[in-house]
Amino acid sequence: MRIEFLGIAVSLFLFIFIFNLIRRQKIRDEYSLIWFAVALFFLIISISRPLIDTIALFLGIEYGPAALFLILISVVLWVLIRFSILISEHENKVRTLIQEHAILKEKLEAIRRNSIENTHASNSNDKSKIQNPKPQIS
Amino acid sequence: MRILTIVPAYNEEDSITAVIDDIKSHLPEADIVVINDASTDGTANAVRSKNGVRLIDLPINLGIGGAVQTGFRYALNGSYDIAVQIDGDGQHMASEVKKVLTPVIDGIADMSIGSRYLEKKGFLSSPMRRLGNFIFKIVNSTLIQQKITDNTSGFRAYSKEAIKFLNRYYPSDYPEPESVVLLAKNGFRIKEVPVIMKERTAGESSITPIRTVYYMLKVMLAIFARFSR
Repeated sequence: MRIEFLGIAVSLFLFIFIFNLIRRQKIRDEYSLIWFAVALFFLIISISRPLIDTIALFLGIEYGPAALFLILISVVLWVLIRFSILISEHENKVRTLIQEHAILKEKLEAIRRNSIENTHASNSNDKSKIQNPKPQIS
Repeated sequence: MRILTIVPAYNEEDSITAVIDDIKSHLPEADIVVINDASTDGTANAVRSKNGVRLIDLPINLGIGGAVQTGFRYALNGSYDIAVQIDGDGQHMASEVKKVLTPVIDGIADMSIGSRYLEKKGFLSSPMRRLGNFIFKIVNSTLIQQKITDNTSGFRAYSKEAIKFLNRYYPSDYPEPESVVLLAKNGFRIKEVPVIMKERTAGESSITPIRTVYYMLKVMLAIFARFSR
C-alpha cells in the first residue's frame, strides 16, 4: 500500500506545484496542460488500486505497482517527445527571426549609407552636417 | 533577368575578398550578397572594405544551410529571378559560374549543380570524401531515378520557383545531398554541369573526420525522410 500513498503524495505535490507555476506566470499554458494531464493521470491511477490491478492483469503483469511504473514511464516519454517537437518548432521560429533580423539590418544600413551620401552631395558646404551625418535619436 | 550571387562565409577573412573580386570580374551583371554566419574573425570587415557588395551579418551562427537560406530569403524579398551560390572559401571559381547558371537561365532546370565528377578535372577532394560522395551518388541517383554525380557540391544555381520553395524549408546543416532529393521529390528539375573546383584556399572545412560518421548517418536519415514524404 505504501507505493500508492507515495503516488498520491507525489501527484498532489505535482498538482500544487504546477498550479503555482501557472499562478505566478512561470510557464505558459501549452506546457502546463501537459503536466496537468500527467499529474491527473498519476492521481487517478494512484488512488484506484482496482483500476491499476485491472490494467496490470490486462497487460499480464502480476505485481500492480510495476504496471504503475510502466504507465508512468510511458507518459513521461510521451511528454519528452512532445517537448522535442516544441523545441524544434521554436528553433525554426528563432532561425526565421535571425534571418529576417539580419536582412532588415542590411536594409537599414543601406538606407543610412544613402542618406549620408545625399547629405554629402546636397550640403557639401555645410560642415556641421558632414561631421555628424547620423540621424539624431534622442 | 536579375541574378543574385549568394556567398555564405564563416571565418573566411583570408579568402573572401579574393572571392568577391573573382565574382565581380566574371559576373559583373549580378548582385553579390555575402552572408556572414556570425564569424569570429574579420570576415565582416573584409567584406565592408569592398564596394558594391551587400553584407548580411547573422547575429547568431546558423550553419551553412541557415546562411544559404538567408540568401534565398533575400533573393525572394528583392524579387531576383535566379540565385547562384558561390562558397566564400575560394573552392568555387567564378570563371565556372556561367556554366552553372546556363541551364537555369535557359529555363531547363530549377536547380543546376556544378559537378566535379562529370569530367573529373581539377581538385576532386580527398579519398574519404570521395567515398562519401560515391555513396550519395548511388543512393540519390537510385531514389530520384536521375544520375547525380556530385551531391555535396554547393556550387549551385536556383530558379525563382526553387528559391520560393527552399525559402520555406532548407536543411540547417549539411543541406546539399538532402536538398537534391527534396527538390526532385517535389517536381523540380535538376541538371548537372561539369565544373572545375579548387582546393579551399583558406579556413577549414565544416566537416572534420570525427564528425564524418555522424554526418553520413544524419544525412542518410534526412534523405530517406525527404524521399518517404
